[in-house]
Parts: sequence; structure tokens; C-alpha cells
Amino acid sequence: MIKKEGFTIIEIIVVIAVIAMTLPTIFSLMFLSFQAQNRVRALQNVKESGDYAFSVMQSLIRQYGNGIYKAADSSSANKVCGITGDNYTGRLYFKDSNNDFFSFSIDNNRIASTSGVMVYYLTPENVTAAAEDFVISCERLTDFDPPLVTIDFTLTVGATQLRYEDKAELRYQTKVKLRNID
Amino acid sequence: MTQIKSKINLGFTLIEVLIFVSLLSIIFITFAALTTVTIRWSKINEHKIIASHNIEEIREWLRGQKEADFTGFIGKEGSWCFNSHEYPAGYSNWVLSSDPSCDHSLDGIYKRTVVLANQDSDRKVLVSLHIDWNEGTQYFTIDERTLFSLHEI
Repeated sequence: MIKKEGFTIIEIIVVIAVIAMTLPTIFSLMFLSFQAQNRVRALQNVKESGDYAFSVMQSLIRQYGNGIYKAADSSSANKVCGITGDNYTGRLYFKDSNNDFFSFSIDNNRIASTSGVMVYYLTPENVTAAAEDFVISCERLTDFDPPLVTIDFTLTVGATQLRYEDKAELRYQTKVKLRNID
Repeated sequence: MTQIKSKINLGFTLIEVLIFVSLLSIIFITFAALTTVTIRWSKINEHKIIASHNIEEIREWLRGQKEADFTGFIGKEGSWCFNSHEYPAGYSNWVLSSDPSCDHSLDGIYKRTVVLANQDSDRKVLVSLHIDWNEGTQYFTIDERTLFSLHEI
């Protein structure tokens, strides 16, 4: 009674067929899971950065701005949104109570807060803020009301990535009224 | 001797094969179930982040309306629906939350409503923001309340 050792061809085919069915299922499930997690991470990233920049800009403008100029020079020719009906869109320079200026702009695709020669970045390097989507404008509705500043910007993560789940974009916009006027 | 050799070469018993297949199935099913739950919760988290941003978006838009025209704003006491990222140009274009068009159409899944209630002899407005959506059979909601006044501190 001699029996050959090893597996028959049928056994091997069955095993390979089972592996061929289970492995792709496992890998596709894992891939879907990673995709979903990447999407959440990208969104979290852009929201965290946007919320911070938005909050800093709002509070600085509301609390410390008491005059708006189109250049860091307090001559009356540079003053904007000073009288009823006046409005201006462009880089705004806010004058504080010490007659120092601060402004917000896009620098190296990041939102930057500039005060004198100091530049503080409000968004991290991996979050992109496009200059064309960054708008700060002001309008003066009445002489009795301080100027109203409109902030509008869009932040993007993974703009150059090919896959949808690595990209996220959020838009932020609000209107802030200065608390004080000079 | 021949009898012993033939017993050694018999291979696995049916019980051994059944145990192996059962263990493998349990591991595979557990892994598949866990991964499916992870995917589902990742999707729910994604929707929560966007819902939270949508709540902040409407709050800031309303703040802008309040800053631009407080008198007009306090005249809008009631329950309103904002199911679009394109906001109404004037107060007369606001849609009531009781309107049949106020459904889960914001970004395809959300329904966003706002209740404005005047307080302190019309000097303040209590703003109650609400967004809800369905994830299959589960219902999710985010609520936020804030108080707007003529002059903010």
C-alpha cells in the first residue's frame, strides 16, 4: 500500500482559487479604508488651519483696528472707508491705537499677518491659500457706524494631488465691524 | 510496517480541515466587518466636519447681515431655511423652514435651519443654528446657539 505524498492538482487549483477570491476583497477593503481616512485627515487639516486664521483675523481687526488705509502711511490721502458710501477692495492696512499698522496678505501661498517688518504666518505650509481667492474689502455704511470689513478666502489641501481623497477645500467668509474709529 | 506507513501518509483528518477553515473564516469575517465599520465611521466623520463648517458658514453670514443692517436683521424673527451656499440677496428672499423646498438638499445630504429670536427689547438676537442629515438609518444633528448684539465685544 504505497501512497504518493503531496497535493493533487485539483487541491492546488481549489486553494489558488480561494486565495484569488479572498485576497482582492481584503485589499480592496483596506484600500477603501485608507481612502476614507485620508479624506478625513485632509478635511481636518484644512478646517483646523482655516478656523485658526479666520479667528485671528477677525479678532485682530475687530479689537485693534481703528482706521483703514491703503498703505502703511496715515496720511489722509491713504485713508479708505472713512466716509459714508466709501468702499475699497485691495490690501488693507489697519492702524492700531499706537499708530502702528498691521495687514493681511498672501505670502508663499500662506495667509500672512504683517505688522511693521514682522511677518506671522497664519496657515501652515501644506495648506494653500490662493492669492486670487483672498479678498479683504471694506465699506462705510454710515458716518455713525465704524467701517465694515469683509474677509473672504479659500484654503486648499492637496491641490496638486491626483486622488480625490487627498484633496480638501473650504471657503471662509464673514464681515467684521471695527470697534473703534479714529 | 506497511500499515504504519499508510497511516502516516493519510494527510489531514476532516476535523482538522474543518477547524482550520472555521478559524480562517472567523478571522476573515472579523477583518471584513471591522474594515467596513472603519470606512463607515470615516464617512460619518467627513460629513460631521463638513456639517460643522456649514454651521460656521451660516453663522458668519448672519453675523455679516447683522453688522450691515441690524434694524433689518431684528425684523427677521422666525425660523428660516438656508439650503444653499448661495445666500439670498435681500431679506425678502429668505425661505421659511416650513417651506416644502426645505429638505436635505444642501451638499446633497444636509438640511440647515436657523431660528432667530429677539431679546432684550430687540437689542439682541438669539440665533439657534441647526443642521441634520442621515447616514443610512442613523440620524445626525449639530446644534449651535449664539447671541448677536448691536455692538459686539
